[in-house]
Amino acid sequence: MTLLGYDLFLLDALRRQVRRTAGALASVGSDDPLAVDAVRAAHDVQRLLELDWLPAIGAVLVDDPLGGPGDAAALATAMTTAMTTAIATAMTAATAWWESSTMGGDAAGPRLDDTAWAATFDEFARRRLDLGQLLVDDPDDTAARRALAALDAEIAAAAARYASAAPTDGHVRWFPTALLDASPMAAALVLRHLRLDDRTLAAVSALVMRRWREGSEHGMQWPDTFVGGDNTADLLFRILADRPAAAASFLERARPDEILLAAQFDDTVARLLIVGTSPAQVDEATAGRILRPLLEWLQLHGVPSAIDGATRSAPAIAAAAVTPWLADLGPRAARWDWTYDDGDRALRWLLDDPAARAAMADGLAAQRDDLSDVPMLEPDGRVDGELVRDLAGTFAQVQLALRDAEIAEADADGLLAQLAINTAGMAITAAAPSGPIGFGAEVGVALLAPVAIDALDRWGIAPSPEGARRRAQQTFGDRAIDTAVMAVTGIVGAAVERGELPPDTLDRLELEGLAGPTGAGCAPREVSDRLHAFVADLAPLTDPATHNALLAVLYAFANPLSDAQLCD
Amino acid sequence: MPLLETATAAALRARATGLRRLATQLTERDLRNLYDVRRRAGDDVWRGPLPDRCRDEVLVAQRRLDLAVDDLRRHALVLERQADEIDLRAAATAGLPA
Repeated sequence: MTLLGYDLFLLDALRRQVRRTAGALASVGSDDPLAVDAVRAAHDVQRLLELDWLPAIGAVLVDDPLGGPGDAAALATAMTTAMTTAIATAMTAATAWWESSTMGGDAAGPRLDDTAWAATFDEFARRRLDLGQLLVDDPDDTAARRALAALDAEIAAAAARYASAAPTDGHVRWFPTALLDASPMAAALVLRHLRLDDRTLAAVSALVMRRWREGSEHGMQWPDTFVGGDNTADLLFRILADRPAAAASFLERARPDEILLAAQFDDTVARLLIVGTSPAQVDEATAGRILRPLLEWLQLHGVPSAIDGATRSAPAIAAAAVTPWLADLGPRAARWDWTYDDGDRALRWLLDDPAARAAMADGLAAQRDDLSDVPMLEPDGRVDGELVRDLAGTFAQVQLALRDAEIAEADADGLLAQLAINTAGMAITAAAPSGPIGFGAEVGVALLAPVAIDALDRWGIAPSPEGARRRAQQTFGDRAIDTAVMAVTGIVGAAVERGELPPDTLDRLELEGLAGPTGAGCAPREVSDRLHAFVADLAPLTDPATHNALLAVLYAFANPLSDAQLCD
Repeated sequence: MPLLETATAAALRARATGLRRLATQLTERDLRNLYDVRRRAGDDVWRGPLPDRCRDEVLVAQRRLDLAVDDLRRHALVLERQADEIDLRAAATAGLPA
């Protein structure tokens, strides 16, 4: 077995040293015939470094074949031949490119040294920072604004010239190494204009970001840290947020502090994180690799304080990103490679923050359009038991966390209402994927047919923003039961609309006259009993898919165990 | 002392100085740079057959430059000796009775 491993960021330092050494060796020269051998030796070593080892190191940086974050601690071992193949190809291409450009065969003209490009880009960055500061001082400075636009065009043109010198044989991805020699701000300014593939963009961004966070060679912070407007992180995050796959790949490589203690503007962090961890972009395990370290870091370090480059709304941003993956903080914690208790601690930490609760409720509301993509029923019509268990578990977990934290504010109630609506919506969609699904715009409840909305309104459970929500809570006492009522009503309502059930079907579900909070009985248990009886009564009339969805809802939200928890 | 011989000796010494300067540059800048390359290419940075090869090849390159430096200094010494001999010969010629 062959052991391979590397630290991506130390490897970049090695690359930098190899380049410096090769550059110095290139300047070795002498007219003395007795120095011919020594000069040849120096140039041979230069070629060795420039043609063999720079591309080899670059290939590892670009391909990142072991694929993980670049911490020294993550120095992984694995067996692979992909890495050596990529490196060999990179070496061959570099030799051909070098020979063609030095022999005059390169159409783009003689190759400009990376150092020269880096100096050019640095000068652009210096001028742009000056102009940026002028605009921070006086946003109406039209001359500065015009100069900025002209400078940006100049940067774009220079970036195009730089990229045109890249090898174009199509076999080897180009790695813009000059950007790693330039200042991070310069690199970020040029990066926007280079048409890099997602992986290369992510790799370069991660290296630039690490260099920016760690300061210049003498440990000093980079100049853009001290001026107004976008800093390096803002620029990079905006570029990445427009490229979701690159954003995800970058987030996998970046450390939490590089995400949360970097950008001047919280919106750039929010966009990056939400885009890069969206279920449309990453799978569950990848989302965990990104979000779990962030949540752990936040709990350990607390919310970043109010200094430049700190993400002050970090809990709300993290909550918004986590919302599609709520179950991974509870019932599905193992999928994120942590325990239920770890996830629950993180959830409670988030729910303690009012802005995070609001962000989570907004996130759930935004998710509603995607509900129909979540298959609650298997293709053969059976209920996906695991999914239903996860939904119910997550619901109970959030409810318990809010209750334990004694959070009784409107936003906590709103969060539970959203969770109830989404969960019920999923059940309704599963049972009636192509039925006449209506939209209760007034109460913000998607997926409910008009007949269902009428019934819910009659019982006071339709979650209107204010009164109905409170009435529902007083009447039924528990959001899980609300969810069951909503889902059952929605499913049956859809079947009525499709003409599969009689129009007065929902009248059979009697929910008036409950014990209520001051009554002798327990409202949740009474509602649960009535729902079970209603579903059993309908069994002969409903098709298997509808019936299975109804049973799933009862199984998840109105089972004897949940009744006992609420009533005994 | 004949002017021609004096000029030749001075030229040889200038060449020796040039060779020594190049040797010093290679030693103090380039070999030190290569040493840093090897230091930064250790097992903590990357490991595997390719990194092993990298370290080996850089070590070979260091040795080659070391030898080149030795050669330059040897050449410089030879030139300086030739210059000294020319000077001695010239001095001896100048000291002969007319």
